[in-house]
Amino acid sequence: MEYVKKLISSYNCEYVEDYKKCWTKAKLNSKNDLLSVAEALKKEGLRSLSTVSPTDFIDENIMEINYFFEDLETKRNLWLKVDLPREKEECEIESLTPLFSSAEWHEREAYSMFGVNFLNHPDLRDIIKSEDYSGVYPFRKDFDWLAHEKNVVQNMQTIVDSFKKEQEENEVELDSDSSETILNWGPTHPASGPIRLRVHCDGEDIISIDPDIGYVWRALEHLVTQKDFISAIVSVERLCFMDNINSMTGYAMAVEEIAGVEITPFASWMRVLLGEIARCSSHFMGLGMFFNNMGLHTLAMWNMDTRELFLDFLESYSGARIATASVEPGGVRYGLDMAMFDELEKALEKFDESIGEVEAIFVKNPTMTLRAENVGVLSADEVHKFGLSGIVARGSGVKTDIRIDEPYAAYDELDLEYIIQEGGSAKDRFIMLFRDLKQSVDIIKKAKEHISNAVESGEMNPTKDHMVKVPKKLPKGEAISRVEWARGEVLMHLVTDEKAKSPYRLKMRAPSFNHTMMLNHLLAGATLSDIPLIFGSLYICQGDLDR
Amino acid sequence: MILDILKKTLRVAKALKTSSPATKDVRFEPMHHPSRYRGEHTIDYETCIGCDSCNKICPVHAITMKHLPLKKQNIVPEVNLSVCIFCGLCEDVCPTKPQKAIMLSGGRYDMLSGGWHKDQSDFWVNVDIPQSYIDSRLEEEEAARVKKELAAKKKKAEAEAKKVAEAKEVPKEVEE
Amino acid sequence: MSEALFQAFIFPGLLYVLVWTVGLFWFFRKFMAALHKRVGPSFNGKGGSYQTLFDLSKLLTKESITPDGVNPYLFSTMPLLAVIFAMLPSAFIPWMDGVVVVDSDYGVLALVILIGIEPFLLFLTGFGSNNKYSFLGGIRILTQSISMETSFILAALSPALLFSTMNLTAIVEQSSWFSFLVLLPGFIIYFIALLGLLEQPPFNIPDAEQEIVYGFYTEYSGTNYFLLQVAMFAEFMAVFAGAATLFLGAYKGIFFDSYFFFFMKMMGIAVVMMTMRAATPRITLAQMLNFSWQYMVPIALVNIAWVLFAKSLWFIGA
Repeated sequence: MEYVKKLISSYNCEYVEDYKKCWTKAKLNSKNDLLSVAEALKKEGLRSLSTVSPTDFIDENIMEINYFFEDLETKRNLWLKVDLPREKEECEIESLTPLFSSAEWHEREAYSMFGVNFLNHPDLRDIIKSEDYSGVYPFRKDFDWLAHEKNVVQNMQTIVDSFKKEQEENEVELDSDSSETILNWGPTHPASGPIRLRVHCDGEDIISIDPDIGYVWRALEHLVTQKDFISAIVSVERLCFMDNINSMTGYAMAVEEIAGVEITPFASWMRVLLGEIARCSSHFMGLGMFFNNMGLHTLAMWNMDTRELFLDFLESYSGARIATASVEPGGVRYGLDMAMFDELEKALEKFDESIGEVEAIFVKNPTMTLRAENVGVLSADEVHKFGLSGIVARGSGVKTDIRIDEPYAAYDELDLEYIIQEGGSAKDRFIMLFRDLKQSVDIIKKAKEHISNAVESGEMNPTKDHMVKVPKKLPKGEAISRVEWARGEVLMHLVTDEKAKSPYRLKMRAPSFNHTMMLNHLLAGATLSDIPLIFGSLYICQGDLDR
Repeated sequence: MILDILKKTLRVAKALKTSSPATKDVRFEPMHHPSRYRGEHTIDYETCIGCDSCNKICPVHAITMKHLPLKKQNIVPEVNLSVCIFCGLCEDVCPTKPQKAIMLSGGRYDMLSGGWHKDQSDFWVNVDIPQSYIDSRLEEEEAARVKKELAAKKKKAEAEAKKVAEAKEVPKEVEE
Repeated sequence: MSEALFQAFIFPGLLYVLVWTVGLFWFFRKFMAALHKRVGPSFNGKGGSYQTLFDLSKLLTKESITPDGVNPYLFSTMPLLAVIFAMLPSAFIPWMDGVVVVDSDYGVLALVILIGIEPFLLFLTGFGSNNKYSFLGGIRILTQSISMETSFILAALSPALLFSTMNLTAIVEQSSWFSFLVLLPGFIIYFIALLGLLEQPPFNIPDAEQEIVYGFYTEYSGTNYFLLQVAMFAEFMAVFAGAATLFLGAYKGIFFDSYFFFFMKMMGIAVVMMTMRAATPRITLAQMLNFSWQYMVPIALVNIAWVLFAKSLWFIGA
């Protein structure tokens, strides 16, 4: 960390300071230094760029851009800020895509939403937002959403016209005598979910893939600024509601840091317990989805059987099975009734009974091995280059797990170990998912035991200790928090204004964004049958892809 | 490899032995209905104090306040079920004791099933307040107001009497 | 005359095929559900037995949409032809002792050819729809059936070689437990090739939902779709009945001969096929071609050599 601090201090900085365990926070005075700083960092080892996020300070006439550089091996991270003038014509900066491949789509998103122009970007097009927003920048503070939404019919006509134009261009470009064609894989495809892949293929061989995302765009980052700090959790949890608890935990940690509030041990342990149950719920579906994409639905059905009992516990605790809204800034929302642990016990027993069969039939399935063994191989270098995280990174042998690197909630009291799988093929990622599921269930058992013992001995009071009060108006500040979400690393960047009742800006960095970015890299040269296989093995969820 | 596939097939066939847990007809009774289940709202107009907290915290603006012709506690909430996301924050923030005025916990789950819905009014949770209740509350308020007026008059009369008494005393002192 | 009408429309003609379709579809759904630890259809009728009847009759009342730009002859007439060709093989099968519609001396050949022509008709349906996915599905089924049919024909001919006759009733009369053991390798090859011909897992490549939407079925709806489904189930019936006739001795049973045993044998093959469907994912086109030409066809040829060898040892004079 010291080396990074020295390195960044050698440039013209406004301030350089330590932040939490593994972060250094710095602000550059001049945007022209950015490229040389980035090159020096890459040489030093900080090879992954997590995300690029602008904040629009309209009162000071400044657009502030945040860069988050990470080193997955030695856990040294840098949070770099740069100011830009706010007017559209002057709001430009050098693009980092030639150095860091993971910056490509993040800079496209910053351009689409805020209007920041990135010079020398290889392909600066609109992303996520629909075609009726082309030319306007929705997340700027002076954008009028109501006026835009009044012309609904005109907006829809714009979208339809642009789609037809694209189809016509395809017909013109491609020779009608050759076997080359551009297929639309999705959005109403049985296996794709709401995403469209433009597959340029020659017969059954793929030449290139261009994803078109944004079918589930709800502008969550804008909606959060319209609600107050407590009711914003219903927007944050809809990042992907299969694993809703961990994203709420990240948001709550950021709010508690700005407010200067500490939560009780009982709330920490409950966050661990609920987070791992939500992770299991997501992994059950992910395992089933992988086989669904190969035509075998049995695993998904068997997993649903076990998953229902876990959801029964969540329903008894919070009142809803999937979108639970049960983690708030200040702790967890509901107190615990110890009789609910009986339902959790039933779920764990059912899991132990059935997991042996699943392992023997599906993990060691010969046909699956035949199909997935050498397909979609990701090397460890590519993990660093594209900023991948979670199951995908650990399946290629890179040791990165935020529960161990930067522990939050009560994870520092559990002795967790890195579980990795060497190889990086689609089959390795599937096996990694399975082992992650087993590790999650172990953590659930340990957390349940700890809470039961503590309640019996009187240390924790389950009906009173679950929440501390967080003030309604927070002071001016900003904070970041990272959590190990089911699909990867979620980084939340929260900015608040003086005496504000709502967040000023919340940036949610989604892991599926980086994973979808590299589909072209993985699939060029494969055949059509490989698309659902590789797509399913990357564990992508369109909810957090589009936000 | 074919032998391997056959072995997996036989193991899958073992699943025929497990009995399915789908034993209830969920059109008529739920499989799992705990006491904290967030179902249809029950709004108690007698407990509601009209503080407007539920309206302010609702993240999707599903609550509209219905005005009553009373002086205090003059609004009660009504919920639009097609907008509500059943997060339960309105119940959390309601300040009344011992029972909350707006409650989702333990509510029913089959809110909109069955039959045809001809217009939007089926999708609202309305509060039907009988006229007798409003009349009795108006009478109470009237009585309270009259009582206050009488008390104010009495006080004024006492203050006047005191003043007159003082005024009488002063000339006495002046005389002496 | 009336007998011909009875055979064409009641048994083993149109009504028989329809009842078989409805019944087998329901059985497939309930059996798959039990393997998946679920329940399957259960609301309409006792155990959901009316469900497929309702589903298929619903299809008849839906609108048959013909998209713009399709080839009118191929798109609308192919489903009808497919159904007719799929029902033809059942005329050659001896259903009960002495009950066979056409007792020809070339029964095996007729069976194999009529079953084999079906995929070509389905390819033409894919070719006629103005849709890239249908076309890909049509090409896939053509590729798959050419590869699988070679081993299918070689395996289906082995009983004819063993008993030196192509007459199906004669084959059934001469079959016994011993001939079943001799023909066992041929039966296994026939079963695997059957999976490929009927597009069942692990060979359900032309019907790969997750890859090419629905293959050549993509553009069909309403009555056309109903006809294609009936064609598919009629093909099941033809292939299963062929397996039972050639290898398992048709209506011959323990203690007495009857149609009941024929039915049980067909259902036995269906059950094994369904359980395999629930246990293995699908393989790619390249892997299927590899498997078929490198393993199946050579083994089928070796099987023919074995049958000739066994015939010279034990079946002289048959």
